Amino acid sequence: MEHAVVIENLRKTFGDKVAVEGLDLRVQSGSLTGLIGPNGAGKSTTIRMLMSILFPDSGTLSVLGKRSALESKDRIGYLPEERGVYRKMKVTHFLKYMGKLKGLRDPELGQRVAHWLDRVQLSDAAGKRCEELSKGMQQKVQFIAAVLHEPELLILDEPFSGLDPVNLRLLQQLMVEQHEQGRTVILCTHVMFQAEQMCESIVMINNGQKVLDATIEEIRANHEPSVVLFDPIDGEDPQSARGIDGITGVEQTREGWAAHIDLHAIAAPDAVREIAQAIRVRSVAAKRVTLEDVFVEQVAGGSADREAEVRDSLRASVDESESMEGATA
Amino acid sequence: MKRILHIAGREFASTVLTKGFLIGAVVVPAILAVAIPVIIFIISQQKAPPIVGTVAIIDPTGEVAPRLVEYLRPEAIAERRGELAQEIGQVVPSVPGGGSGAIEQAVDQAMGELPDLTVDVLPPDADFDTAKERILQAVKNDPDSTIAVALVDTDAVLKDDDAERFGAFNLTVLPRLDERTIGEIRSGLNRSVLDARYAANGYETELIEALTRVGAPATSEITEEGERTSTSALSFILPVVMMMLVLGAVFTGGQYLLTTTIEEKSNRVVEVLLSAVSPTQLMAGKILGQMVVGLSMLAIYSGVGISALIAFSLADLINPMDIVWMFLFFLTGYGMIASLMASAGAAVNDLREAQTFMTPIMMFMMIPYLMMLVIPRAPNSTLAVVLSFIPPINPFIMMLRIASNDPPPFWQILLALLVSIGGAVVAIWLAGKIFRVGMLMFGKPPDFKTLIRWVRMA
Repeated sequence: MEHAVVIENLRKTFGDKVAVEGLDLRVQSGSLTGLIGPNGAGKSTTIRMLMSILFPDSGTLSVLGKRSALESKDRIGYLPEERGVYRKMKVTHFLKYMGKLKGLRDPELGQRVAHWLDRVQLSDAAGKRCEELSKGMQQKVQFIAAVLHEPELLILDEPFSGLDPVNLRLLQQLMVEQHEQGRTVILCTHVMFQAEQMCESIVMINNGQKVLDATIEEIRANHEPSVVLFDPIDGEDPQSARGIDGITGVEQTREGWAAHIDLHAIAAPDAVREIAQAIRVRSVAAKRVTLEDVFVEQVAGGSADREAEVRDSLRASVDESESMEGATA
Repeated sequence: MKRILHIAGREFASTVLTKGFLIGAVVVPAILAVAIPVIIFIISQQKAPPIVGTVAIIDPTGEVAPRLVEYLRPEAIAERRGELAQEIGQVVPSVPGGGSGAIEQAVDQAMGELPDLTVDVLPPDADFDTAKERILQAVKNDPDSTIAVALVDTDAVLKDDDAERFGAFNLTVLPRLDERTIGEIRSGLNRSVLDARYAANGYETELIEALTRVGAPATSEITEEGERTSTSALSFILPVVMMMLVLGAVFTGGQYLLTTTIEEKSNRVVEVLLSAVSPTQLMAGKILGQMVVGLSMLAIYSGVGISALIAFSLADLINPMDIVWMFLFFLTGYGMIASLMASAGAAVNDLREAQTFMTPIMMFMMIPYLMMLVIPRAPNSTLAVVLSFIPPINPFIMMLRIASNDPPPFWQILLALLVSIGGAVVAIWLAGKIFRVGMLMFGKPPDFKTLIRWVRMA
């Protein structure tokens, strides 16, 4: 099976609102794919249709070779964005219950639950009620519920939201491990640098439509850096970089001085060399293109005003969900 | 199917292991089983306080006072009570738990110990107002205190020729005097006046009494097992009890279903579950699990009830087939109500919002309650027959009719069962659609229009 997921011309509306429009998507078997886009882009709706929790208005999809996930739920692990636990249930009981629903049986089930609780450092919590766990701990329990039955396809919707750095790293590690064991992993997130760190290929969605579908390598190859970051030594005037042909502007950013280049006039490596020659600097380097840059470029289509707008809305989307997590934690 | 059973198992376990359920299903029946005999025993040991005091009488006719003295003699009172017990024994058949001795005991209990009343006959020309003042000095439970003063009218025994009616008597009593004491004195005066009138007109009291009494024995029923005395009071209660059992069991399961559905939705565990099962499987499992909860309630309570009937040797009141119908109608009634509850639970975000949906359901369910008083009297009236075919209330109406003393024809029971099965199938189908959409909808609870859109959407 070449593709774990094939989506063709998928469309879904809620009343007047179009959530997903004409979406085509192929997820390579064994890949680690990031499905990214701001909040409300249609990611979760797409995933829910993939899981047969929602049904599309039109279009076709196939999951692990079946027309519907209902036929292959035992082979899929899913960590939904809207997730919870039975508050009064004990952690082990909850995991065993989920395992049974996925077709696992004792004694293997019990062993796997114990093994996984140990893996995520929750062995002590095995006998506790779920409501006694912190939000981060609950999230790890939910992650176990998604991987317990060793699924061929693992779909994680915003798996890192609300995690502290230590648990975030642990979960990333476990995710990569699942991928290395040959499973297809789909990571759905609005925090683009997380996808950038881990994924092999990226699908960007905005307003229910796909705006980009490529591997990280392809993205990097196709999106030459358009900013050179440099750190002039004291007494040098950074603005003098403006005199170089092809440099359209110089500004101070959080990362240092940034020179914006017109890629039609000058290539990034040349710009680096020219700046180093023109100004005495401690360091100078082309800034690596981030997924956020690519997203902004794709959505704004070259208009500078539009770019600023998209960046703001993207930041707001991240800030908003973080503050929401802060409020619910 | 295995998944549905897993879900049902969890649903059942998480419900019956709660304190609320254990109290309702185990502790309450256990307490009832222990408490009722204890209460009966305690009551049987308790007697009403004795009646003590003096009754003053001013009797210008001279005929009433001696008769009152005789009437209120303790021995005379005892004799009358014996007769009363015998009479009751003839009218009321077997009272649960005992023979005629039990009736005498019951009469004694109801009326208390023999009254200790002294009659103080005042001179015929004594002043009534002065006599009444003696009451003001009365002390309770003192045999010498005057607790009542009676003044007999001069024409109480012999009326004037042109008068239309006889005279009577005036009775003044101590404030807050026991109702039974006043009754005893009043009936003594009544009886004495009547006796005096009979004698004055040349009739014998015994003859008048014999002429005015019809001593028919209790009504009896003939059954295949033989003849028995009528138990119409119990056969009126039975349909109500059986309907309440079914209604109670259906709503116990239904209510739990509503709560657990809302809980799963509000704590967001639902989508985690939907990663493993389809919404239909989830709903089916939940409905099944709570059905077993309701069935357990029904089995426990009807078990206690039937054991009680057996203990009082009244088991033949229930036709075993009635029990079969009861369980069948529970299933269909539950199917309909549970679907409504599951839809309501899936549509809302918390219990408070659920009230909006529950109100119309509850209003409709009031109908069986109202019919509880009407249908057992006329189990085959047009109203009863029509209501028997209107889901979702027909299982409850049918229980009222089946357990009544004039059960409906078999075809009606069967048809009502089929109608309720059809109702349950439609309700479950609709609920499945609302459940599928509603479980993932958060925010503003839907109105009726939105619900219809969900049904079309799913």
